[in-house]
Amino acid sequence: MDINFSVENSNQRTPCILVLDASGSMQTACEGGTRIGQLNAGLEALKHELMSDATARTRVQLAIVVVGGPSSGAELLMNWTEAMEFQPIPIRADGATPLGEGLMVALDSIEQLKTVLRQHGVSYTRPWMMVITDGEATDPDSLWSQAVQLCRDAEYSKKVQIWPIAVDGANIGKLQEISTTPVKSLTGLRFPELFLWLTGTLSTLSRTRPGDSVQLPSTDPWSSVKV
Amino acid sequence: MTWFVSSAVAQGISHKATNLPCQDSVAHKTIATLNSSVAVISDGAGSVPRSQEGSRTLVEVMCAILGAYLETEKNITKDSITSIVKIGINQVRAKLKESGDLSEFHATALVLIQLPKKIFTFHIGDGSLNIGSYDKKNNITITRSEPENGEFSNETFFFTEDAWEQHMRICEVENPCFYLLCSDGIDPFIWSGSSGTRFDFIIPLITKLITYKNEQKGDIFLHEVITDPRTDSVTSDDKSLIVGIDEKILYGKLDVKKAYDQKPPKQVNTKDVNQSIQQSLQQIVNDKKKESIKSKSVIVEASLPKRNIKLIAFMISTIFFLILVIFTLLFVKNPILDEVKSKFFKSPKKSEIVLPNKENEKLPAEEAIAVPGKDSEIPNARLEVKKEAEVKIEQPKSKPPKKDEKIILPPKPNFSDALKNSNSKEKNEDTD
Repeated sequence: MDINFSVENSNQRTPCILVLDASGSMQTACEGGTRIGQLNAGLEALKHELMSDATARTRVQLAIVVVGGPSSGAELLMNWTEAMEFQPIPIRADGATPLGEGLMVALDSIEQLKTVLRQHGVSYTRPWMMVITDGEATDPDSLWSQAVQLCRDAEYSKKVQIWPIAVDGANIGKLQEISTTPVKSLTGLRFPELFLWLTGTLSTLSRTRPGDSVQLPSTDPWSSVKV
Repeated sequence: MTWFVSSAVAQGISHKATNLPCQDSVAHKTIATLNSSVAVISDGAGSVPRSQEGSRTLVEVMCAILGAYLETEKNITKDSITSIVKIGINQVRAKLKESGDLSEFHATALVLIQLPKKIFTFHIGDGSLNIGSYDKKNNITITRSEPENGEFSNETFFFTEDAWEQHMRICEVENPCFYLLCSDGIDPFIWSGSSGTRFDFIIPLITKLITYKNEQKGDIFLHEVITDPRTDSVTSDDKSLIVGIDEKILYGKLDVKKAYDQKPPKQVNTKDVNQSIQQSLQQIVNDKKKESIKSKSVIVEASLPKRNIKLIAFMISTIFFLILVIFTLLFVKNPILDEVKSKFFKSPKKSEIVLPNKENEKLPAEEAIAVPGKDSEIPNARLEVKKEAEVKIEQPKSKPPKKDEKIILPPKPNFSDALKNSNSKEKNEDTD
C-alpha cells in the first residue's frame, strides 16, 4: 500500500476578491489598446501565474466584483473560484462607477465565503480585497459613506486586507478613504505586472501572528505591510 | 518492551525561494530502560527573523529537562509533569531573553511525554499531536491535539508570548501504541478537515516503518516522505514529523489498520471538498436571488395600501370638487352661471327671455306678448310671465361685443300698453 500524497484540499485557503472598475472611462484609449483591454490582459496573466505556482494553485481562491459595465451597477461577476479553476471572463466597460456598492458586495461575499469554509473545516488566511479604479465613485453620498465605514471597520477588525489601486485619472483622495493602506498608483497600466505581484504575494504568505509584518516579494513602496 | 521513534525535518519551498532558513526544529529522546520517550517539535514563525533560534532552543531544552526528569522521577502525575513542562518553558524563555526580545523568537511548542501506560501532551499553537491507543478488544482509537489558530490559519500562538500558559493545551491518553507529531506543513497529510485522519497516509507510513525496525532507517524514510515533491503542491512551508511506535504495533499484536478516530470531524464527509464549497457558495447566490425576488414582491405588496390611500384621497377630493361645482352652479349668482341655469333650470316665476339677435327682435308681437281675449287663448298666463321676466339682449355678431344687458320690463303693463306694443313693432325694434 503506497502513501497517498494527494490531498483533496490543502486545509487552507487564501481568498482574494478583485473589485474592478468597468465604467465608461475604462474605454479610454492608451498605449496598446484601452484601459479595459489592459485589465483583461492582466487577468489572463493572473490566470497563468496562478497555474504555474503550486502553492497558489491549491490555496488561492478568487472572486471578481465588477463596478459599472453594461448594467452600470455593481455585481459579483465571478463567485469564489479555486485558482486552479479560474477562467477570466472578458470585462466590458460602460456606465457609471458605483464603487461604494461594489465594495459592499465584496465585503458581503467575503463573509459568505468564510462561513462556508468554516462549515467545511477549511482554515483560511485573511482575505484580500484589491480595489482598482480609474475614476471616482458615483454612488450617492450616503451610500459611499456607508461603504467607507464598512471597509474601515472590516480593516480595523482585521477581517480583510484592502489594497486600493488607482489607475490614471482616479480620485486618489476619495479612494484613500476606504483603507489605511496607501493608494498605489498604477502607472503605465501595468495590469499584468500587478497581478504577477499579487500571485507572488499570496503565495508567500505564511504563518504570522496578528500584527506581524511580512516582507512582500517586490520593491513596492508598500512592500512591508501589516497583515 | 520498548518504543521505536524516528523523526525528520525539511525546509519548505517558500523558505528556499526567499532564502529563509528552516524554522522547524525536532528533538526526541528514548529512555529504553524505562520504556519511555520524549518528543518535541517547534515551528518558528515565518514573520520573525530569529524564530529558528526560538524553536531550536525549545526542543533542546525541553528534551533535556524532561529526559532527566523521567530518569529520576518514578511517580509521575499529570500535575508533576505539567509543573516540569512549565518550568522548562520558562527556562527557555529566560534563555532567549538573554539574547534579545522574546518577540524575535516566536515559535510553537508541541511536547509529548510517553510513559509505559500513558502519554501526556502539551501543545501551544498549530501543528498537531496524534496518539493511537488501544482498548481491551485491541481496537485502536486516535486522539488528536488540534492546531490552535486565530480566525485566520496564518495566525497562531507561540510560547514566546506573554499569555502562553492560556494557550497551552494538555492532553492525557491511556494505553498508547503509536504517536505522530507534526508541524503545520505536514498536518494536511495526516488530517482532513472534512474526513478526519488520513489513514491512506498514516497506515502505509507506519507499516513501512515497522518493516525497518530501526530508528536511523526510519529517520531516512521519514525524510524521504516529507521531501517528496508531491508535498510541494500542498504546502510550501517547513515540514517536520516525529513518529513513535510501540512494540505491540511493531510485532503485530495490534493492527494499525483497525484504527479509527475518537472524534471524527462534524462536517459532512465529502470526497471533494472543493466541489462541496462551490455548491454551498452557489446555494447562497441562489438563495440571495430568491430573497431579492421575494423582497421585491414584498415591496410591491407593501406599496399597494399606499396606492389605495392615494386613490381614495383622489376620489374624495374629486367628489368634493364636483359638489363644490354643483353648489356654485346652483346658488352663486353669476351672469354666466345664470345663463347656464336659464337653460337647464327654467323657473316659472323668474325666467329670462333671451334676445340674442335680430331674429328674436323680429318676433311677431303675438309670439312675444299675447293679446288676451283676441289672439291668445290664455292671455293672462302669458302676460304674468312677461311681467317678471328679465330680458337679456344680445347684440348682433357684427356689432362690437357688449356685455349682456338686462332689461327689466315694466312690472305692471296694462292691456292698452300691450295693444300699443303689438301694433307698433317697428318702434320696439328701435328701442331694443
